[in-house]
Amino acid sequence: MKQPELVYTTYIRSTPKKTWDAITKPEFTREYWGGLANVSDWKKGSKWEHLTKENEAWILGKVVESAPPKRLVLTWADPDQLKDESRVTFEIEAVEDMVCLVVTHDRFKTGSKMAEKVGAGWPRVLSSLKSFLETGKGLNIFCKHD
Amino acid sequence: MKKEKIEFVYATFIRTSPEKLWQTLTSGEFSQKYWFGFRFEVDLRVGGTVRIHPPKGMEQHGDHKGEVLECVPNRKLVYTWQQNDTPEIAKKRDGLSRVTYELTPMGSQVKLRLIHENLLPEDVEKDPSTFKGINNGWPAVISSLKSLLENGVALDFGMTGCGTKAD
Repeated sequence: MKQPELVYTTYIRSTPKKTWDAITKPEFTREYWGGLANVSDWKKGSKWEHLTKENEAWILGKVVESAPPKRLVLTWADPDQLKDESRVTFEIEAVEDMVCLVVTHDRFKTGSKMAEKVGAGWPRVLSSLKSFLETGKGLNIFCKHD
Repeated sequence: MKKEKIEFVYATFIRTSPEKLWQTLTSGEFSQKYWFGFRFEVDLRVGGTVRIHPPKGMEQHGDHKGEVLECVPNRKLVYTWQQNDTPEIAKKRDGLSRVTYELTPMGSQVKLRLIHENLLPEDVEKDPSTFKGINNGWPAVISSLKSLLENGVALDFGMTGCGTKAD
């Protein structure tokens, strides 16, 4: 059975540096990523954490590749299920006065529970990131259907 | 021979109302702003025609034509999409492809889910440096639509008619 792979492309009126900063600086991710912070020194081999305001890690991983402001590759796992590890790649390309941001989430383990969750999550987070960079305000990513 | 059916699904969340999003999706005037200058005209009833007119200088793309299959105002639009195929690709088509817009209100946001289905592998473009292909075109159009609704200004892709990104 083919392993699932998520590829999400969005165009944002912003610069590669601002987009990189929005993904890697905790004070920015908190604004659009449901209050969670992405914390790391973003060097190859370093750990990274996706932390709540109470410093609880919802996601953990390692930095596989780091080429600011164009490419960031991370491993990704729920701390309660570390073996269910997958990989996330952010690619940021300047296009006219915008960036093309492509997020790929792949290398899921067979039977991964994470694959289904992130399929619903990434469009919300990346839509919120776009709103944050373009309007100064993110979206509520935990919003439910009316 | 087993035929590979391809579908493309894309979801985005926009800070707007279902009514404003519906209006923007179905308006010829608004579509020219976010759809690379293409004008999307639709007769909003089952059986109504859909026409997608190319802008000046891109006439080689031809008009897309289609028909409305389902129309629930402010919630759902389904229409057929007629490709401008070469004869070789036209032979492989098993009916027209279909586009669905699903609008789901969520407080101050609306979830827009786009589904383009009954496609061929030839409709998917492997080269990411172009806007050609269903997979490259739709994210650009929808991103531009979101910017138009949230900022009042669509994205400017600097299209010169060749469909490439680099310039």
